[in-house]
Amino acid sequence: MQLSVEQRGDVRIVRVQEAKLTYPVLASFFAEVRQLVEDGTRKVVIDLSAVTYIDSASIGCLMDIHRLLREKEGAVRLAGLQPRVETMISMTGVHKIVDIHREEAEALAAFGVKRRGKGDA
Amino acid sequence: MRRVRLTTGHELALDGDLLSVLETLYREVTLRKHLRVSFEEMMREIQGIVEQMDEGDRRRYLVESLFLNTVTYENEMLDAYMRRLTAGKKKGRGRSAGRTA
Repeated sequence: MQLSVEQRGDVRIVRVQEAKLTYPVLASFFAEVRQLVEDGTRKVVIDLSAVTYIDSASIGCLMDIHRLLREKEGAVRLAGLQPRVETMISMTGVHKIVDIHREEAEALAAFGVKRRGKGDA
Repeated sequence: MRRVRLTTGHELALDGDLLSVLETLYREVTLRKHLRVSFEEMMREIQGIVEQMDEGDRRRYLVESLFLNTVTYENEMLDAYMRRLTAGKKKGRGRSAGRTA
């Protein structure tokens, strides 16, 4: 599973770098996020901008991640959804439960992380 | 990769993408009939697709379809529960506000 993790303030950004997010790679994806939560992360942004295809098991996995963070009084936000991924998210009602943002910056702002300005270090 | 053919002549690749099947049915059946497709016409089209599948395809699409519907159902139930919770809180405030000494 190709993914990277960045930190902005108290938010972890998980960037999925697979074009297809499907059942075979979900175990490692979920394990990575669970480890972040066990390490104390309570705010997660999942950047799906590289993902063009998502199956139903992946929808289920995203809901598991939502529940994992809710149990710890945290939250997950999804960002950068490609059109077909957004269709799957809407069809399954995930958007009613999990906050979706067009851009990563919006998700970070919703978590209270300010945008980086030109003068910022 | 196996392909199936709809009655319109359109070919659909069986790559496990359930959304692709739904989109194709909508485009080739529903829109072609200008949204006036009957349940029988759609059923015939779906049965035609399934009959062209082999056992492996049928299993794969059934699993995908069941999982998709399971997640959808769970989210609908959760959303309904949350709405009931919210409605209950709103009613409480109203009753309290309306009480007289």
